[in-house]
Amino acid sequence: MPTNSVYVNCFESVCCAGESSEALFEAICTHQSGIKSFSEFIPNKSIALGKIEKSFSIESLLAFTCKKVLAQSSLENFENTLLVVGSSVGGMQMSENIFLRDHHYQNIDPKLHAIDAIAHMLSKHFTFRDDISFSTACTSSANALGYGYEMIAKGVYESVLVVGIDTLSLTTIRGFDALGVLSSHTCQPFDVKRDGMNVAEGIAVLLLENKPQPTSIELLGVGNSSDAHHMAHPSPDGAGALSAMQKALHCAHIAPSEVGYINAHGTGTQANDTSEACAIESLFGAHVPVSSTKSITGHTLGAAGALEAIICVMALQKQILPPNTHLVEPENKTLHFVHEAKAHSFRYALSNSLAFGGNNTALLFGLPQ
Amino acid sequence: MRVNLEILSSAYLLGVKSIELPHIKELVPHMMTRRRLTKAAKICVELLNRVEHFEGGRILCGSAFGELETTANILNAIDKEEPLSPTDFQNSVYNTAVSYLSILYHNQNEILTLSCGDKTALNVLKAGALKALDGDTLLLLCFETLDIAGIEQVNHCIDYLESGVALVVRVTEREATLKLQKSELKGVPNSISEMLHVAQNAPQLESSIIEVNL
Repeated sequence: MPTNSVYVNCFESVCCAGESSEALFEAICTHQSGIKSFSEFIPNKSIALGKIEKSFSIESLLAFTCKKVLAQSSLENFENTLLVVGSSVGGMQMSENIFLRDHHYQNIDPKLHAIDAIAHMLSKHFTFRDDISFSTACTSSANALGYGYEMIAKGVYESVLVVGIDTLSLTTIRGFDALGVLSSHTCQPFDVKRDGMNVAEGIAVLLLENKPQPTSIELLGVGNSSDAHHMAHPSPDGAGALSAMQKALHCAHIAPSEVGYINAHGTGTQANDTSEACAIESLFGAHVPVSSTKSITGHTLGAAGALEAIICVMALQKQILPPNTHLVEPENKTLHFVHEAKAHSFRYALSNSLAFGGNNTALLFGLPQ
Repeated sequence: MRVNLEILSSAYLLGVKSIELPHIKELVPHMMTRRRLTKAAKICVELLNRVEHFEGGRILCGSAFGELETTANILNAIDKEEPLSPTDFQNSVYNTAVSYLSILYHNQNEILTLSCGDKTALNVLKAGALKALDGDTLLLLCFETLDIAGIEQVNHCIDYLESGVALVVRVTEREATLKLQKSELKGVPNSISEMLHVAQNAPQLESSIIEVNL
């Protein structure tokens, strides 16, 4: 099977830490978290969340972000482009609003409730050759990127637009609260005093193409695995995450020692961080700089894979290691955590995404060969 | 690009209301585990038990509406200001059913879930065809579990509220023997229709091959 190279040529994002990817990267490097406390989502309880500040309709903000990506590109339109969406809740926020107002389902439009509500919205603004939507909880958009990679690598498409998106919904906020994993302040991934995660919303859009542009970063490898352990808890030894990272490196023919930065899933929950740190340590030891950027962005759930892919791409373009804000005393004493943004010459960056059901995805990015 | 898939085995389940699964106790003997499974997970377990030639490997699954019962439980709890069930929440993600398959059968391979409205089954076949180019045998699944209280408020066209289809596939160079089209059975969800058509017709053919246009 012939393999084409896959390039990330254009991207844009919106999240609580920035209305553009440039603003987001600046916020990460200067420790400006977008996480704030809110008391209106859970009765009698204040929790810290990542909410996009300006008032917006999902459809208009999503379409605007995609238009910015199209404007950056050499494409005139998306008519020969495959749309690949990754989302964990799709149109749930709209369904919730209607149901909690009406107390019945009658006015809920099934087309706007499900995951493909996102593709349905985008079809009003753009024409795509085809579309497909993935929903694997918090790995949704990492898997969307993996599918886009495969479509180009195997020569089916020349361009794929990947959209990662999730909005804040009561279902996810109260659901994670029911699991006891929400923090009341900004999360502290990998710290001994971490006490939970921050649910957040975000949109991240990347255009993958088979031909490079001057600033392209290459998507070199994808690794997938399943923990086969528990619905909501990762395997304690991180075996699933380890397998996904090994497969991504194998796919790209890259040795662990060549990786210059790992953007960890690093949610700030007890279970995730211990398990993931164990996996990273067993594959990379103390050599590779590691950080989680979720203390700045929060956990954007289905959008996280795409958002953190953009962070890896920008880190490679700028040759800057993004720091792990609020990490004071690491629980794992071996890993080489990045505490402050710093210039660093490196060729490859790995992004981890881990999800409910033990779904694991690792993406390997690099400077063009 | 056109990819031909050989259908090595197939199975389907359809229920006008709830699908009866008489073998589920034998298939998942541990009671506490069985009680945690969603209906979609139980349907997937039953389907996996009915197909041949799949001894673990990659799985692609599709559902337009995912885990509707747990989603509705959560919405109703929020509406009534009641505490949410943590189990309902962890079982509400679209990849719940196949994640339970991975846990029950210790399958540590790539397992992906799609949700593409009426195009779900067709897209599972497309994604399956793309993946099958690597040369392995894949399990393709799709399901809908719409049998929840009040579904008649939004459902005006689907008669079979519970359904599931499984296909075991691998890539082949041989010519297609079965046209890829929607099932002729009225009242089935569009989201399973193309896969159902394959599962309904494949067993009658000596060699069942479909052409998937990516």
